[in-house]
Amino acid sequence: MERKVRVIDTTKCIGCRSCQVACKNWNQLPATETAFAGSYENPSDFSPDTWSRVRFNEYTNNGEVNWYFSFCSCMHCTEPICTNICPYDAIHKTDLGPVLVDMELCVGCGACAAACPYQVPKIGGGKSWKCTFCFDRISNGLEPACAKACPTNAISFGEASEKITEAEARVALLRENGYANAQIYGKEELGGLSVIYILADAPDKYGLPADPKFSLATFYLWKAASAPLKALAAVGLAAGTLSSWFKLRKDKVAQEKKEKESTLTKNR
Amino acid sequence: MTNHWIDYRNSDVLMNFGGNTAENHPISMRWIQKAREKGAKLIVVDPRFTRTAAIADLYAPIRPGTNIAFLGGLINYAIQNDLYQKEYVVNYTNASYLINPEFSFNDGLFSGAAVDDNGKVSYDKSTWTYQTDGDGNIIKDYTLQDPNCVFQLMKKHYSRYDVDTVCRITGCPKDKFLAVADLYCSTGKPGKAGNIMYAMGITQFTHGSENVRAVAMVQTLLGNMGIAGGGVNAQRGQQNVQGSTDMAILFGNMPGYLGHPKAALHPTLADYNRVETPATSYWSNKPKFIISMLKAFWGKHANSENDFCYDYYPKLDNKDRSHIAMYKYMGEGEVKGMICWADNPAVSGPSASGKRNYSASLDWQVVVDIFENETATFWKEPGVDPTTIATEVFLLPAALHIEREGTVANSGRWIQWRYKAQEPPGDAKSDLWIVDKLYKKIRKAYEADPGPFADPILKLNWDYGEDIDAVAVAKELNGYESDSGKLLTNFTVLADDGSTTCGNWIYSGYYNNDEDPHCKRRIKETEGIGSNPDWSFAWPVNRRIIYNRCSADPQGRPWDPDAPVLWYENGEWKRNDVPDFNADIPPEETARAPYIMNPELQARFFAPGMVEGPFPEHYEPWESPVDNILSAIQYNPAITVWYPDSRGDRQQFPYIATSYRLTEHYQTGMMTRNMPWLNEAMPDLFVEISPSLAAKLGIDNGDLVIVESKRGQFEAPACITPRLQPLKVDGEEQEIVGMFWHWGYACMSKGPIANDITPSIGCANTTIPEFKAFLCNIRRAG
Amino acid sequence: MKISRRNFLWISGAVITGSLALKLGLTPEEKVVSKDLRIQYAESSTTICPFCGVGCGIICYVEDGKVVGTEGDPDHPINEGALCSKGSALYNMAYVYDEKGVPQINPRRLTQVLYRAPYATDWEVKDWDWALETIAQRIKKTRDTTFEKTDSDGVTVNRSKALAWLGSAMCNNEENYLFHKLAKALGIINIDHCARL
Repeated sequence: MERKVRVIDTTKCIGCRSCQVACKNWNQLPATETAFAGSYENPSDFSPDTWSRVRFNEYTNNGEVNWYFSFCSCMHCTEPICTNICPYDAIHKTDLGPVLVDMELCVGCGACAAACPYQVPKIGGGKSWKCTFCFDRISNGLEPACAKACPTNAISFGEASEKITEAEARVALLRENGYANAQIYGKEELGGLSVIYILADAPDKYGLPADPKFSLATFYLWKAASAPLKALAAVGLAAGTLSSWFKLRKDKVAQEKKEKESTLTKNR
Repeated sequence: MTNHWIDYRNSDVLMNFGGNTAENHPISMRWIQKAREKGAKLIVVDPRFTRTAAIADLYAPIRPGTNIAFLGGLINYAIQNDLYQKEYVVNYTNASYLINPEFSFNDGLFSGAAVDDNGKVSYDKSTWTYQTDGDGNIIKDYTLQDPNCVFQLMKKHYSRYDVDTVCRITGCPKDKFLAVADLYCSTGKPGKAGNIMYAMGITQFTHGSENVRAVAMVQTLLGNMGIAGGGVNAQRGQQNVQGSTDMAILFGNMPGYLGHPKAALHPTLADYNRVETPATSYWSNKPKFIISMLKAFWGKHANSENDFCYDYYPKLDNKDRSHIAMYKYMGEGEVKGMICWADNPAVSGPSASGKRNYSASLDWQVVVDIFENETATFWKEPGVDPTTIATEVFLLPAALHIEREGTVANSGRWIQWRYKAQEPPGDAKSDLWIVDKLYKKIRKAYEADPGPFADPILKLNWDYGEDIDAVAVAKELNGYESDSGKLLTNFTVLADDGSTTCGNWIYSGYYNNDEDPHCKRRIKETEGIGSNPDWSFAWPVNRRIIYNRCSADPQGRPWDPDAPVLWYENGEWKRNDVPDFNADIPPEETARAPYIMNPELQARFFAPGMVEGPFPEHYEPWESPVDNILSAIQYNPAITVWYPDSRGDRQQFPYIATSYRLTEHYQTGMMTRNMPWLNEAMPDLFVEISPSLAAKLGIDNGDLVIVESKRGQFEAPACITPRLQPLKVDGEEQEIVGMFWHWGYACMSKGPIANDITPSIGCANTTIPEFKAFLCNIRRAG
Repeated sequence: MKISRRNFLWISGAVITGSLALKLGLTPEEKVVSKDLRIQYAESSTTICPFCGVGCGIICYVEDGKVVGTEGDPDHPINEGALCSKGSALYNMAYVYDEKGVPQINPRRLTQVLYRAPYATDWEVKDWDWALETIAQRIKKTRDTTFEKTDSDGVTVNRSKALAWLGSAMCNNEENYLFHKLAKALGIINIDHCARL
């Protein structure tokens, strides 16, 4: 099955935040306490109970006002740092696109949260929480709740190749129609995001890092910090280097999962 | 709305004028985007740079309260530059009619003005008339050249609205006004559709009705009425405000827009029918509508011998009985008991703090709602001592809409059925159950002790079963044969002899059979112009675009062959909609009679029915920081000034204030402030001001400010934003203070009531309050 | 088909979504949430959004007589499944999720008849019969003591200027029609609602 993406066309977004609420509605997430913080934007950050939200950015340019709205959630990167940094291998990338947290394995250590270039995962109740790309919905042929709810199709959902072609055509059209800075974002970044943006202006105007990177320092810090833990867990294993231990554990987990899957399939 | 939401996709230019469609009707943007994908342009004219403006093709700022100047400027621009649709104007409007030569306009007043002691102008309209020949026929000049014809008088009137004058008044930069005028007037060509969508930014003014007229005139001049993608589209702000208006929850109406009987004009049914029934137009059927309605009210007791119980229906005195007036009478002690059903005037009314004080003078008040609201708890407001308030209050728990059945009418007049999904919790009951049981208790009380004139109550035709069923009421609204109970097809079969019963003639047809009631239909259109005739029912008679004869030229050829509503081909009318004319006769015979509800059968540029003049004229809002530069008359001279002392002066209150709504909350917030996901997204009321005003007053973003008017004050954080900018009005910069009004002291999320500072002054025709333009001062708190 | 909540959350796939299992306080074997739709065994009914005048269609998912979720009706020609933030939040009017993600009836819902006596500082809980009977008596007394059968010109006017009725655009057509009908039978001429505000 081809990888799925969401395309966020900011030139169609009206900032109504239906996506933000639809996410809570579908995923049964309670509201968080917020307060006016100087603009329409709220909540001001992700949290264990807020997996998607809309940024509001205002600019004046030669007396003309620009008010940019941009949906944000987990980008479901093709090369996600969180899956690699997680000391418990609790995070994995699915073929369909979603990057998912295994709640049985997750202990809420915060490695993913520290490493994410978009500061998406949030730790609460001993677990890491973030957008699931509505995995249950998309596995059943439905759109994610945010895309379904969007009034103007500013959030749309589909197969990566087709949606990226569409997005490129839209950007070309915008450029012809006076949006000199129109651009696509997310096609190449971090191996290609599963959230592709059509922007009318530079990414930083929407709160998106122009060149997203994960911090190597953070990566090694977490690897180092989790080492003793791993050593303990690895008693009995013929552990060589740290990285080979990682590989072993990964293979083991994969094997266990495969077995579990086949058992369940048989049972159905 | 003359058109409907999906029809927006057929527009070439959409102008959101006095509305904020992306924020208050977000799904409209779905259809606007579809139009834009085909090349349509979106214009926003608004005092604020809104979320609609954020994605518009063209944004033009306007000073609150100067819509007529702007729209008059568009009328002038279209006429002076020959951009109007001449064939449409000549054939479908009263542009060619000759007006009484005595009619005049001079320095802000039309002929016939008489000023009373309070300065209020009322007009003797004897010169606001058409010239007629000896046989009583209106004299017309189809060349539109006669200096007394409507077109020439209109041209002369709006010649004063030249671009420079308009920009001086409205504060709109000249280049922006010209860009709007050029783009919007491009729809004056046949085959081009322009859509003006508006909301309370047009209506909530002392000249609100004339604002609407001005919109209609622009649309008519450009040939945008009756066509797909065109129309005067009043975007309704509430789920069923169309329906509640249709059902006459208004002092001046009976259901179906029949005028309410007045004691002085209509002492008997014969008087009513004589005075109110025009010789021409579809309203010539009015006696059938009222008699069928009286049959619905008093059933078998209503017959031709007793004037169908016309005496049982109350008669108005000559006083205004609208919201502002009603509360004044309450304060004066005349109103003693109030039923407030799913309404929250303690937050929504103008000068709301004063209104809450008046509530304390009631003997009793009944409130029916789903949550505890501010109106029910006026005696619990912080700072109020309940031990001094004698009013008895009953608060009855109602069901959510998903806990009951019935229909709602959307802005496009689509009447859609809502099904019950679950039972209400606890003792909560449906509104239908409550009103049914209340009536039965009242009837029981009158059976026990009749008191004065109990007949209208005891003989009321009210039998909807032991456990009331919405379908039973729907059938009465739809209408049935009085004897057999057989449901009526639609209102064309209504009679004036009592043989038909129909609660609201315009709803006739919506529930005309048990098997497949039209309002429950759910078949989506697969091809066509978006009419979706088999999805729900649109009043009247399932017509989706009103005045649709105008979608074709006099010969019946569609102005726009790509989106034809009706077109005459091979000797018959082909249809994408239900004709709003007699489609059984050749097009030539209806070519000059497309507006079947007007006695003239044509659209009116000159409208003598208006209180303040047959042409909309710019007057300043009641409270304005500037003098009217167009005439010596400062504000609408025909308004009633209810509280003269409550008018703020511009020295003490130097800034223009305007109030509005947000996507995330709804009206008084009574529903949405009890919904955590919405409180999370928009947790507090704040006041929006420009960076220049903030700098001048030393206010930082988020600082608490006090906003005050002559009526009161409230405290809230400031949001400093370039989305609000001062406008240069007649050479001077004028600042605008923006506030939304969704908060109050009840509910999960609490906050100040912005309406505490709005004025109790209303439109001359409707008394809708002037919420959108008044004066305030603002300062840092503490 | 009816199936219990516990069952439809049951594991049927190996893939794990970081969702509600923990919050729901399920037993360890239930902690893996399936990729089944949580509403897949629910019955559904359609409604129209209770907010603005666009008239969008909404589906209510119902299990055991209770709404368990709402979303835009994809078959509705106007909204085609989309909604705004208010429409998307509809479920919240009826239910709110607690910290564990368990739905609770909106704590602010009025579920009892309340009465505030003159000079009282708080509500008293009453029953419907008492309340409706008392209201009927209040209406009757106000009407009867202020009733005008005829005006000074002798015209039958059948009215009481002491009664007033407000609302509502939040009620259905059939309800509003009966409001008008009852108000007119009582002789109410002070009648208005939020359409003007």
